[in-house]
Amino acid sequence: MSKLPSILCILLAIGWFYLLNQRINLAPGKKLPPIGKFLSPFTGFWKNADPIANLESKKMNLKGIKGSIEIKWDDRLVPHISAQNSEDLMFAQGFVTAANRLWQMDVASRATAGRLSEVMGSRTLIFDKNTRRKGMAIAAEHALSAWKKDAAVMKMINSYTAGVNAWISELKPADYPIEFKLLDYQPEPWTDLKVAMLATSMANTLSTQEYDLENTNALKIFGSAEYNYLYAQPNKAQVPIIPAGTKWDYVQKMPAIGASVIDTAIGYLSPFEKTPFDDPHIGSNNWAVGPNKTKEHHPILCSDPHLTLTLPSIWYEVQLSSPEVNCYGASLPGAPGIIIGFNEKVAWGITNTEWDVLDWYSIKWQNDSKTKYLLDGKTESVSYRVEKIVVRDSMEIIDSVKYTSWGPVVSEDQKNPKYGLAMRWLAHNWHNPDELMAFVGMNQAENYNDYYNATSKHVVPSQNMVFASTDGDIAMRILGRMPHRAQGEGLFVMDGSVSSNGYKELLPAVDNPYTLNPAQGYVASANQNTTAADYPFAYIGNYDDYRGRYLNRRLTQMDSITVEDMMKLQNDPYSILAEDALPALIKATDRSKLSGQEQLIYDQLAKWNCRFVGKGPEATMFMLWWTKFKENTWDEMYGIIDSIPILIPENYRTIEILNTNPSYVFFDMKQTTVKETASDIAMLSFKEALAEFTKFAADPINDKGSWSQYKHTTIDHMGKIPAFGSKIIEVDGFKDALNATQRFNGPSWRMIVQLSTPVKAWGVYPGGQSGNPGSKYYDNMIETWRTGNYNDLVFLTKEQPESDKIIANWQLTKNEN
Amino acid sequence: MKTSFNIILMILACYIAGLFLPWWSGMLVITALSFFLNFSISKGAVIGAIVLGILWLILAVYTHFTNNGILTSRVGELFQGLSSVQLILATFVIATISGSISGMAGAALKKLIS
Repeated sequence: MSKLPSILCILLAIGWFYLLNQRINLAPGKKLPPIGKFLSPFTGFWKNADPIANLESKKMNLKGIKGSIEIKWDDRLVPHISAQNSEDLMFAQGFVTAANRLWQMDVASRATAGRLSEVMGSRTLIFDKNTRRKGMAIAAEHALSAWKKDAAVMKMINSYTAGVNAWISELKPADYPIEFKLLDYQPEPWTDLKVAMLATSMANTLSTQEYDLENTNALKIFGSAEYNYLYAQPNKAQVPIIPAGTKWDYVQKMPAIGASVIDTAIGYLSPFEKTPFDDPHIGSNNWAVGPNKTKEHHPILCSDPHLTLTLPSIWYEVQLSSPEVNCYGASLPGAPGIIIGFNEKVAWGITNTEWDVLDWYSIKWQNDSKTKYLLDGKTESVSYRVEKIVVRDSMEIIDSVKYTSWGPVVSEDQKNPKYGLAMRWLAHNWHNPDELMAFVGMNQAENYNDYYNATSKHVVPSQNMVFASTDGDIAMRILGRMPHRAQGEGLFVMDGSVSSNGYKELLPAVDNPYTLNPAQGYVASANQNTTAADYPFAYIGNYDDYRGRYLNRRLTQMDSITVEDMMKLQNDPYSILAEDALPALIKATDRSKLSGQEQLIYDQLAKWNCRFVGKGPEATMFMLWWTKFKENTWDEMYGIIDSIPILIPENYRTIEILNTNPSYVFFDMKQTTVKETASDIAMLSFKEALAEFTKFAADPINDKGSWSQYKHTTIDHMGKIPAFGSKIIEVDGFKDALNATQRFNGPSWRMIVQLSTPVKAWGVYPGGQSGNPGSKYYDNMIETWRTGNYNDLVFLTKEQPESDKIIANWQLTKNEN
Repeated sequence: MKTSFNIILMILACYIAGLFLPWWSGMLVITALSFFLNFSISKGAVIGAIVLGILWLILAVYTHFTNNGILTSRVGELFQGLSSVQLILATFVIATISGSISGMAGAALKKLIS
C-alpha cells in the first residue's frame, strides 16, 4: 500500500514526458508542436533566436571540397564566395544557401514533387494530388535525365547538392530552422532531382498560363463572330518587345503546317480548381538604355521580376567568384548559379515571355473503363503512373494517373463521360542537356557573343533576356524555345483524336527574336507581345497591355539618363489603364445628373493624375468605379463564371468598346426592362462605387479610403504562418503600373546596373537574406524596398578585394580524413 | 548550505547534459540525482522545480535579450498572442513542472527499490 504514491509519481513522470514529447491536436489541421521539445532553451525555438550582435567568423573543415574556400559576409548577410575552382564554388553556393534558406528549399521542392502531405498531413492532399496529376515530377525527372547527358552540367549540380548536404550534416536537431521544429520533422538529404524540381517549379509559375477551356466555352456560347469581337482584337496601342520594323532575315525557314482543329464537343469543365490569386498577377519589367541616352555614356540595365512576395524571399543574393567567373546577383535557393545579375563586363535580367506552351486535348474514350482512346482512327491504350502520396497521421493515398500520347489525363468531363482532358506541356518532354548552362553562361559572359550563345540553350520557361555590356552594347533576346505551331493552335481545347493537331517540333534557337543596339537607343520588355505581327511564325500568349506602353513612352522621352532616373522609373506608380479608362468613364457619365456630393467626387477623379500612390483615396475610387463598370457590363459573364469557366474581356477591349460602341448589347442589363447604354452603366457603376467607397472609408482603420489600405499589400510566410509574415505595408503600386505592387505580388528584386568600369550596381528585395524569423536579417530590407530605396551592392574584384561592409569571414578547408 | 550546493551542482549538470542530449536531458539528470542523493519525494519535487525552472528561465531571458526579442514576439503571436514575457513565463512554468515531477520520480524510484 505504501508503494502506491511512489508508483504514481513514476507514472506521472512518464505521462508528463509523453505529453511534452507529442504533437497535440488543437483542431483539424491545427497541431501544437511537442511542447517540451519546442520550449526547451537547448533544442527548441530559443535556439533560432539569432543574437543581433554581428555574425561570428569561423573556420570549418569539410569533406567534399578540393581547395580552400573563403566566404565573406557583408552587413546585409550577403555571402561573397571566393573559390579556387568552379566545383568548390558551386559547393559553397549550396552550402551558404542551405545555411540561410534550408526550410524554404525543402518545402519548395516538396511542393513541386507533390510531397507536402508527408509533413503537413491531409490539409495539403488536394494540392499534392493536383500537382501530381499535372505531371510536375515527370517534368523534373525528364529534365534531370536530359542533364545527365552533359558531364559539365552534372558536375555543377553534384557539387551544389554536395554543398547543401554538407551543411545539413553539420546540423544537430537544435539547429534546424524553426519551421522544422513547429511541424516536428527533420530535413532530408538534398538531391540532384530536387534541383530539377526547383527548375520545374519556375516553369510551373511562368509557363502554365493558358485559357484554352475558357476560350472554348466562350466560342461555344457566343459563336465565332461575337467571340472575335470580344476576345480576338489585337491591342493596337501596344508596342512589341522586339521593335516593329525589325528584319527577320536571320530566321530559318520551316515547312508549312496546316491549321489544327478545335473541339467544341467537350465543354464546361475546369481542368483544376483555379485559385483566386493564381496567374494573372505576375509579370516583370526589364530594360537597358544605351550609352547615347545616359548622362555618363555607359549603358544602364534595369530588371525587376514581379512574383508572389513571400518571407523568406524567393531570391537570395550572392557573389560567386573563382578563376573562371566573378558575378553577383539574385539566385534561386536550390538552383546553382545566378539568375538575374551582373559580372565585371555584362549585366542581364529577365521577364516572362508569357507564351502559351500548355495545351489541352480532348480524349475520346473507346471503352467504359476509360483505358482506350481514339488516335488517328486507331484505338490506343493509356499507360499508368501510380502516384503514392504519403499522408502524415493518415493512410497512404494511391492515385493512378493515365497518360496518353499527349500527356496526363488531368480530369474527366463530368457531363459527358465519353470525354477526358489531356494536358500537353512543353516542360514535360522538351529539355536540352545543357539548358542550365544558359544562366551559367551569362554568369561567365564577357560580351554580346557570349550572351547570344547562352540564350540559345534554354527551353522553358521562355524569358525576355535583356543585356548590356561595358563594350556599350545593349540587346534583348528570347531565352527559350517556341513550338512550331499551326495558326491558332493552342488557343482552344483541341481534338486529341488527330495527332496532327499538335506541334511536332520546336523552332530552332536561331529563330528566337532579338534586337541588338536598336536605333531607338534602348531595349525594353514588360510582358507585352514579343514581336510585331510580321514575325513569320505563329505563337500565342497572354500579354500585359499597359506597363510596356508606359515604359516605351518614358524611355523615348528620357535623355541624359542617370541611375536615379532609373530608380524612379522602377518605382513609378503611373498607370495607362487609368489614363485610358478614366476619361472614357468621365465622358460617359452625365455630370448634371449627379448630386452635389457626387459631383465633388466626380471632379476630384477627373483631375486625378493616374498615379497609384499609397496615400490618398483617388486610386481606390477609380478602381471601385472601373471594377463596378466591368461587373455591370459583363454581368452576363460574371453570372455564369463559377459554373462555366470563361474569360471576362480584357481591359483595353472593354475601353475600346465603351468608346466606340456605347449601345452594344452587353451594356443592356438582363434583369431590367429598359435598354441600358454605356452611359447608364457608367452612371450606375459610379453610384455603386461611391456607396462602397463611403462604407470602406468610414472604417477608421482604412485611413479615409487610402489606396494602400484598399490594396492591402502583405508579404506572407511561405508556409502561411501568420506570425512569420509582414503586417500590411503602406506602399505605392498597381498591377498595371511599372511599380506593380499588389496584394500578394510585386517587384521581388529591383536591380540597376551601370556598365561603367568598374561596374556599379544597386538592388533591393522585400525581405532579407536569412530565412530565419528569429534573425534581424529576416525582413530588414522591406523598409528600403517600400520607400523606393536601394542598397549599394558590394562587388568584390581583384582590384577591389576588400570592403568595410564585410562583417565576418568563413574559411572552409578540405577535410583530408 | 548543502542544499544550495546541490542545487548549483544540479543546474550545472543539467546545463552540460542539455548541450549534448535531447530536450529531456534535464529531466533525466534531475531524476538520477534525486535518486542518488536520496531525496525525499517532497524534497525532490521542490529542488527539481528550482533547478530546471532557474536553468530554463536564465537561458530564455538571456536568449530573449541577445536577440532583442525578435523571435519571442513572433512566436508569442503564433501562440494565441502571448507577449514575450508570457512566453518566457510559459517556458519557466513547463520547466518547473518538469523538474518537479522528475525530482519526485527519482526519489520515488529509490523508495520502491530500497
